[in-house]
Amino acid sequence: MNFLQKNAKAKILVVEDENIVALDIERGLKRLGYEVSAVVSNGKDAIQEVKTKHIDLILMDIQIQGSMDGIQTADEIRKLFNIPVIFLTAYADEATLHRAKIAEPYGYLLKPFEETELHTAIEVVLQKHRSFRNKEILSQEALILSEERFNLFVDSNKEYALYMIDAEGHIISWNAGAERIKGYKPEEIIGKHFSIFYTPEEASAEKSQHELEIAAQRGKFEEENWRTRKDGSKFWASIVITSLKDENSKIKGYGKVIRDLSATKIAEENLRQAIVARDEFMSIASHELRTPLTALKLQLQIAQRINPSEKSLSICLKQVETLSVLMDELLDISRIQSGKLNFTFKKTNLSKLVFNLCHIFEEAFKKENTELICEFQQDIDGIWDSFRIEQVITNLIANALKYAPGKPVKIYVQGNEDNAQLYVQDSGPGIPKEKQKKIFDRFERVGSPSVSGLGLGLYISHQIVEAHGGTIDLKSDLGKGSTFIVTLPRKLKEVNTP
Amino acid sequence: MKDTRNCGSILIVEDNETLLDTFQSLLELEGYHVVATKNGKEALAALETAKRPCLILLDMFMPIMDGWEFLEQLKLKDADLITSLPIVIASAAGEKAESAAKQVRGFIKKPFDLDALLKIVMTFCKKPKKDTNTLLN
Repeated sequence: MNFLQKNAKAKILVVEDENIVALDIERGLKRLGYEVSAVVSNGKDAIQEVKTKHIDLILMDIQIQGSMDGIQTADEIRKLFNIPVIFLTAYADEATLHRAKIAEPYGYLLKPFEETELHTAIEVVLQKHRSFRNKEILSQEALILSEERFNLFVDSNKEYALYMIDAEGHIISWNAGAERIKGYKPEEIIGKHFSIFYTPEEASAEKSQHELEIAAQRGKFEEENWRTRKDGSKFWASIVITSLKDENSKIKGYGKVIRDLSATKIAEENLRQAIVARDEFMSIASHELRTPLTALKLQLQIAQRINPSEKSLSICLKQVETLSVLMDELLDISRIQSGKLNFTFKKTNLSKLVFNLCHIFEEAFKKENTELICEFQQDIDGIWDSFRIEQVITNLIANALKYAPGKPVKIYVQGNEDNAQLYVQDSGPGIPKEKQKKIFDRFERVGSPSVSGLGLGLYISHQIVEAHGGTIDLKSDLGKGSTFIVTLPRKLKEVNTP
Repeated sequence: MKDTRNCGSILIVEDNETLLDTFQSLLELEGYHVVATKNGKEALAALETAKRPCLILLDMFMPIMDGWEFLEQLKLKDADLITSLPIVIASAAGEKAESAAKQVRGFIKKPFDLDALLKIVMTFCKKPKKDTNTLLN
């Protein structure tokens, strides 16, 4: 049916068991210019007529012969075809009208009726039906259009491989993206089983089947993995398989979306290699620098032993020391960045460690006329990396001497069952509030630029303490000095190394 | 306590010639006998001819034959050799060098102090010549 039928002769079926009335209606209809496709006297014949002929409208008497009355017949016809019905009835009791309503007729005519009444009723109903059909056609066309648009979108999408497989795993659709990414043309792949995409090893492991099972169970299967193109080359793919189910939850098929992420993967791999290369370079450079530094240091020390009063020799030696520390820092930084700062956790006595360091620093403090106060109330141990913890404490003590020379520096250790705490307290100028937060960041220096160093010491210390599951805190007031507090859990916690 | 140190020579394996010279001159000044080699290959040859050294001071990064290859070659000769020989690795700290150091008798991180070096030497070696000036404080 379409709009063109508007001007064609409407074909009308008359269902009327009273012959004289039927004849009268038939004549009337012909006079009015309609085509009477048939006149039948019962429901069964009426259904037969609509099944075999094209009918635009039915005039249906309610009281007819046979097992079905007109209302029942209209009901049956409505289940099969969308044909408008006008009921004809001699009397209209409430019950009949109610039943008629359920059959959703387009109109009623109460017998006896005039020809003009019949004409009006037919024209109104036909018009109503046409506009209803038009709407239906329009919405169907809109659906087709939106489907076409969607198909166009799917088919032309080259970024994603989008294809569908049936419940058994056979490929039933294949878009441009699939062709581009996988390398198969639609005509060579549609109908094939999708296990064709898997390597013999994957196929023997029934990977394809496994993926569908997961998609069927959970609604979705997702992974990032290597996939193989038609030419055998590999690409790094993001894969999503979605199961498509009917209203009874029976699997109808699967939708597969694949994206080629090789470029990202290659970029990541290049970056990883660049990091490895950098670390290797750092390691070699550090070694190459240390060897001449060793010769320099030894030669200077020999010269100093021979001529102990030569001041320039001790200045040179101090600079050699500084160079060594800077190289250690650089190497540690590159290890932290690449997550390679390794720890060896074993039972370590913090008090002894601090005691030894106090001893080592004694001379340096004496030279600066700075008092070093080391207090030990108790022995505190824990499971730590002694070398790295020593590095932290050395850094804190050296900082105190560097930034607050001439003022006493106090170091003490406290502890309870769970934690050990180390305090390094100076009486220097203190650290401004706005600098306190940033002090553990990389390349951050508190003091004047005249103080040497890359500003990596506290950053490294912070990373080391965090790798132990501990914290490093700063309490400082301008003019009143600074206290660094290192808190270390005595038992090893599950922590991520930096 | 029994003195297990011997009077043998000190075998130095170091590719940096200035450092090698420094080691040699200062240890000779201290009265030790020094055999200086520039790589693992030379050191293996020296071990063939010289009598058992009291100490092998081994650098790791070297051309021709590096420290790791040198240790492997020793293992091939005799699995126990790298633990029975008095080997001390003198290298910049690095994971590779540190893990190699676990197989041998000691590790000294470059750059090290004169005192640290002399202490190690004294731990392993007896002075063949007495009354030499000592640089050790």
